[in-house]
Amino acid sequence: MQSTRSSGRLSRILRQHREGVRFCLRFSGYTLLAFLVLYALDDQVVVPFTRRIAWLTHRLLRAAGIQAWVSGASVGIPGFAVEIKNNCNAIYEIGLYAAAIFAYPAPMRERLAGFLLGGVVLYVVNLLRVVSLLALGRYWPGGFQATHLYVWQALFLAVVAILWLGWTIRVRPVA
Amino acid sequence: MPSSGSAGLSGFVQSLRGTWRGALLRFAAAFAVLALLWLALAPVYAHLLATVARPFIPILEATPETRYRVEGSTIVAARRIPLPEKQEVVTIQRTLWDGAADYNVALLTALLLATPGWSWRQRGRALGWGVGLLVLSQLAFLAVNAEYTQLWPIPTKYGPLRPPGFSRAKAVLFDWLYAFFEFMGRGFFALLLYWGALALTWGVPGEPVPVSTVGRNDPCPCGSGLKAKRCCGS
Repeated sequence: MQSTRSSGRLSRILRQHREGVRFCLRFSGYTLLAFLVLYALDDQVVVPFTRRIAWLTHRLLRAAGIQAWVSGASVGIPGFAVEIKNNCNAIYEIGLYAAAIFAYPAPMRERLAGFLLGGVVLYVVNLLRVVSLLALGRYWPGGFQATHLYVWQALFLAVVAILWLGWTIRVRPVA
Repeated sequence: MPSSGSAGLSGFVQSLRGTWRGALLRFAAAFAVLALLWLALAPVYAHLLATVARPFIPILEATPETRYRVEGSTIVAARRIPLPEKQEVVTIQRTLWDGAADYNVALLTALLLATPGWSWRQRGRALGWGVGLLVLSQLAFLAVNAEYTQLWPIPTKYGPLRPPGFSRAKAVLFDWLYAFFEFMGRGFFALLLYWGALALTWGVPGEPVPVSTVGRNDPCPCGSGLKAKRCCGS
């Protein structure tokens, strides 16, 4: 009796929030798809993407007049160097953002615009992350590990959530 | 506050148009406090997670003498692997879970605390469900890691050896599962639970508030000493 009542309540809630439930299911599916594509194309997509970030960071530092070197996915300044790996190259986070954008019921043109604009913002924020971590490792090595593994990772996902929410406020949802 | 007639994800998105600055500030403050709190709580949390995982050792581990230890905020598996052909037993340690990198509890909590338009009761309920499910996802990651690290080559003085019971298909499967949890899982589960909570409970009226039986001229129940009509009832 009790279980019938709770399953009835659950189905009523799911019916009432069909749009939200559909979004969550789509978001899960697209995330899985993004992961499968990225992990399968690691050598073809992820590795060159990561090397490009290292190269761009190096160019940025050189443009700012800082002595820097780059080798593959490693970039360094005198006294400190980092090797950019998954979770620090932003590609999986961009995949997560894309999954959220394409799961939301909006016109395809707005989805594409949101994905491209948000992707660029995430890429730039990631460059800032790499530069800030290099500076942190050079001038405050004790704080590097916690900032690298915890603070920046969480803040980056917060940026993903905020960008997505910012985009949804501006688009007109379609049924 | 929820606008009339709008609930779920789209209602929340509509309401954010006027409240996003406050919500952003609340999120930043809550996350800063929770991240600092996590530094102290991570070792305690690691002990709790290890305590929950220990009864599953006979299911998860090929060697029954495996022990799960907590070192700081990491859970480490200490495995004693017999090598029958060499007539030796090798002891190896593998990290199964690192609390220092587990930011998703703080992230989800900060997002739920910063969300406008929820009563504290609804917020508490969303937090309870959200964090509870997040803990389950972390236990799943721990179990995947326990299986995955058993498939790694065993370092011995004769060189790396294949672990007993190694299967190529299992190694590939657990490599992909591990990669999903490691590269996307933390963010995915935190965001899915947050958006799921918004979709299911945002803007849904809470339990009805009991109708007050305090008369207008009775002392106000808030304890101010004023009559109800001149205080909260005005």
